[in-house]
Amino acid sequence: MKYKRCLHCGAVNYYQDEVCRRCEGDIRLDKKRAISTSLAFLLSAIFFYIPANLFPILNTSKFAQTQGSTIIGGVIELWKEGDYPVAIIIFLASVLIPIIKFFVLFYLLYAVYKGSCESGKVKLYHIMEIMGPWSLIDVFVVMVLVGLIHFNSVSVIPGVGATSFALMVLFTILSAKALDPRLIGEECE
Amino acid sequence: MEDLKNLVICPRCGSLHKRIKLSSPKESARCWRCNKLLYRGYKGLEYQLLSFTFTALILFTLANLFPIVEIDIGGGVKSRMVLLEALLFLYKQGFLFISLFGLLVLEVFPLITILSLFLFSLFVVLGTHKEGAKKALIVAGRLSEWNMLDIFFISILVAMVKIYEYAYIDFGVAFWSMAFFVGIEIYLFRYIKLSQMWDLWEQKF
Ligand SMILES: [Zn+2]
Repeated sequence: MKYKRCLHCGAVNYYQDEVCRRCEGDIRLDKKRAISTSLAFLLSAIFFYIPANLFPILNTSKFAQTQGSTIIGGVIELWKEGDYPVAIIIFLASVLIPIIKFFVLFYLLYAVYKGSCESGKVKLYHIMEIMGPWSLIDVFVVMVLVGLIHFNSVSVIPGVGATSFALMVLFTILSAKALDPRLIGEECE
Repeated sequence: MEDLKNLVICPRCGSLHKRIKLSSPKESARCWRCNKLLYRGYKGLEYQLLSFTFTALILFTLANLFPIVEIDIGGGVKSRMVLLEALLFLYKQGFLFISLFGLLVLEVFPLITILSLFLFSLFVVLGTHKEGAKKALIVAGRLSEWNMLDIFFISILVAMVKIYEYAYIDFGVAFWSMAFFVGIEIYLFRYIKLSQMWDLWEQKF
């Protein structure tokens, strides 16, 4: 291996270089640092997954009566009302996909640790990277509802769960970013 | 010793290539092994970038000055949402983290990203400020990863699905401005891509 690619700007650099010749970005290939940083973020994300699902993500108050709704509670309510497709979508996006992401990240971390290369794993990484921030939809929906619905009769206030959920997604994104795809792809031989 | 500027590594499979000059904007270079697009043969890319970023700055201003959506729940009870107002409201409710996070990924980062790219293309067109153009591109690259207006835009639609039964919904000027702004962002960062802008910088200075 004589060359390596800068992840920030795509420039080709010499393998032993630490700073990109073009964009001055950090181009070190540090397996240990990648694994420990990524793992730390991943564990933080898993930690916040618990309050994100335990506490209400938003509170609706109607005529001075406040009612909180958790993500799971919302799904169950939708299911009871017969809105099966919406219930399934929200269950997948907010409950199941985060868990799948945790498993995929563990799997990729293990691949980096073992140095096992496959184009399939790089593809998996890129899917993770693109999908990651989209879990924030729930948080942004709460933001829109809170911004719009504050009437005298009915108003929506965010719940503690929303902050935890946002933190969980943020840490998942950081965990994926800390993993260097070059370590399971082009630099892994 | 090979000049590093004349080499390209495929981002998908890592194969090394020698760069060839493309003569027409219709041509593109692809990886010999996995057929992944490496770069395109643009003509006058700097002018395209300049006009797109300038338009995006105007759209961004409009998206923040006017309400994104107005709802009417009947009996003359109406409500409207301006993005900055919504963030301020969240802050007042005591949701410091979410409001601050929203302020960064929906306002500050998108604005600085597009502004830096605007300056970059202006410097390239003028042919001056080599270092300034480089700094601007570095900032745009780092911050573009944290632009989340595209996700927010879809979230607005999801929120409307939740309330359309109870309210009459009216999308404002800001909604459409945001839609086009997001469209330009996707075109710049997913279609043209940063590496192509860096190649432009390298060619011009
Ligand atoms: Zn670079």
